[in-house]
Amino acid sequence: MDIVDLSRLQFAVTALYHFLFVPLTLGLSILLGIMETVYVMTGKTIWRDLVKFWGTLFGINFAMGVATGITMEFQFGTNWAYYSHYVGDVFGAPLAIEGMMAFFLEATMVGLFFFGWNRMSKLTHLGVTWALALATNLSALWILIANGWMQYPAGSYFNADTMRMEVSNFMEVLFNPVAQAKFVHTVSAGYVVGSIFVLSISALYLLRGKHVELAKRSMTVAAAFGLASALSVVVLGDESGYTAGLNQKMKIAAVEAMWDTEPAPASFTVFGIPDMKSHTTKFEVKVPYVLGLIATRSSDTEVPGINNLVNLAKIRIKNGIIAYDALAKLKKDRGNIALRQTLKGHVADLGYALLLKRFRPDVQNATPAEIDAAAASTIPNVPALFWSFRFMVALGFFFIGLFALAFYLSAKRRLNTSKLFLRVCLWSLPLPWLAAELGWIVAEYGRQPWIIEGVLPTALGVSGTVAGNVLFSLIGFAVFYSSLLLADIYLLTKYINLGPDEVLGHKTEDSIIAAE
Amino acid sequence: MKRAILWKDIVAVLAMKLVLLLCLYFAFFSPSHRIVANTATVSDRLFGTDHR
Repeated sequence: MDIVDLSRLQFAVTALYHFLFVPLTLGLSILLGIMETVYVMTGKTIWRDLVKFWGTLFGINFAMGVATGITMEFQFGTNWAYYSHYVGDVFGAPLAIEGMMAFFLEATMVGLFFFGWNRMSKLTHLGVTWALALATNLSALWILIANGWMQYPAGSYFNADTMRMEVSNFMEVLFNPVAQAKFVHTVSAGYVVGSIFVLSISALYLLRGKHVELAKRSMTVAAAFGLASALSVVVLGDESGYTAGLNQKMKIAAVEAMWDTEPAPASFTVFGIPDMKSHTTKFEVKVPYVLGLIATRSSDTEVPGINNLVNLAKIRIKNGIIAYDALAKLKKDRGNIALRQTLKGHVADLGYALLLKRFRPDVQNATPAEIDAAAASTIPNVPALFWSFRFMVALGFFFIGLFALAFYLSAKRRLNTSKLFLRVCLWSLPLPWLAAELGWIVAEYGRQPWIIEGVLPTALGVSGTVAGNVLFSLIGFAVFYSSLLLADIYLLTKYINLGPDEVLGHKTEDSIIAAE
Repeated sequence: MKRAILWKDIVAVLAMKLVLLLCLYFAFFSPSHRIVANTATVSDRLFGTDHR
């Protein structure tokens, strides 16, 4: 493995580990807000017990997860120095704001949530719990604005004098449609994770015949909120895919393993085995019209195929070479207005010329064969994307079915009558994490070979430090995150097994008897 | 009583996390491990002879 692949692997490992902690925090924070609202509205103390018990598990996950994202910031400075300089003016702002949100607003609210129970009124504490949920979600918003810009670099321009991307319109960065769609899709996925977590642990208690009243109430909240969230994930995922089509047509074509443009509206491939060598998909099972209608929301707009997009990339590479040549000459003749005009006219394709750096240093002298190879390098790993997406979607529909059944059984007050249902709930525990990680694989792996779509190839963002350092720090990260994950699972399991009575120090069922 | 144990557990893990993070930082990510990235070096990167 070379330095580029090692740096990519290190970032992927840390990001995927980090996202094991994040979605549970996102989901549980809202569930705590809902449960405490019921407590304040009804005055029934069992709902306060619910908030305190699930709040304890939230606290464990928060403590384990906090600062796990900081290792990615380490890497920006060390492994991705050229990337950080090239796009830091745009990318740095949302990251800095996220740091403020996470370390000040969110951490303050966490402190008030845990230590404020006997120090403030019920209503004030409820406000704190919802502020905690809001702060947690706002942290995610800024990260996804940064990530959304990597997918669709709106509101910025290339400054030839500073050799970096700079902000031209911060509001366009902030309200980037790709970022907004990714944000709502991602936080909804977090709500599904939180809901499945509560559903599964509650199912465990019901299977054991312990803490029945608390478990049934928890399941009811998780089923209702989870159903709404799972439906939102699918609808907002569709929106996220639609906005990706604005700028990432290759990603959409790769996810669909669509090699050639079909007459509109394109069919959707439910099953197939994509072959990168022959540019074909074997054993295809297609549903007519569906892809065209979903991806373009019209019946007469084509979805471009991979081969057609490669041909388009060749044209953009040739345009980019003109921009690259003008930029190279501008370095020696900064006052040349004609060169600046030439650069301005072709700068949108400058990134495509940079794809040639993988094949030769003097981009201007690229041969047709090298241009063809650079254009072919814009195809991401089609089988990985095709299957990641389909597993993610299948899991999404499974969650809708599971939550719908849980909601129905809850409405009929038959939650603990079917052991099979409870076992399915219990064993579904890891699935939402799997779906969330698959989603990130589609988003990030699907953007390759770009680190900033159409602007900067990934290979050029890497620092070029010593490969051994990256390898050993990768092993270090694996040890670090595995330790944290094991500690998280150990502590969560320990306190789940202790149960609410032990954790809260009193019998939770007593509060029902007292209320009656 | 259980709450005290929970905080002990969390403090222990946070301490372990801090130690591991500091070790990783000083071993691999401190300023001495970083290259200089500025307008000149990015220019060299894009127009120089180093390429993948």
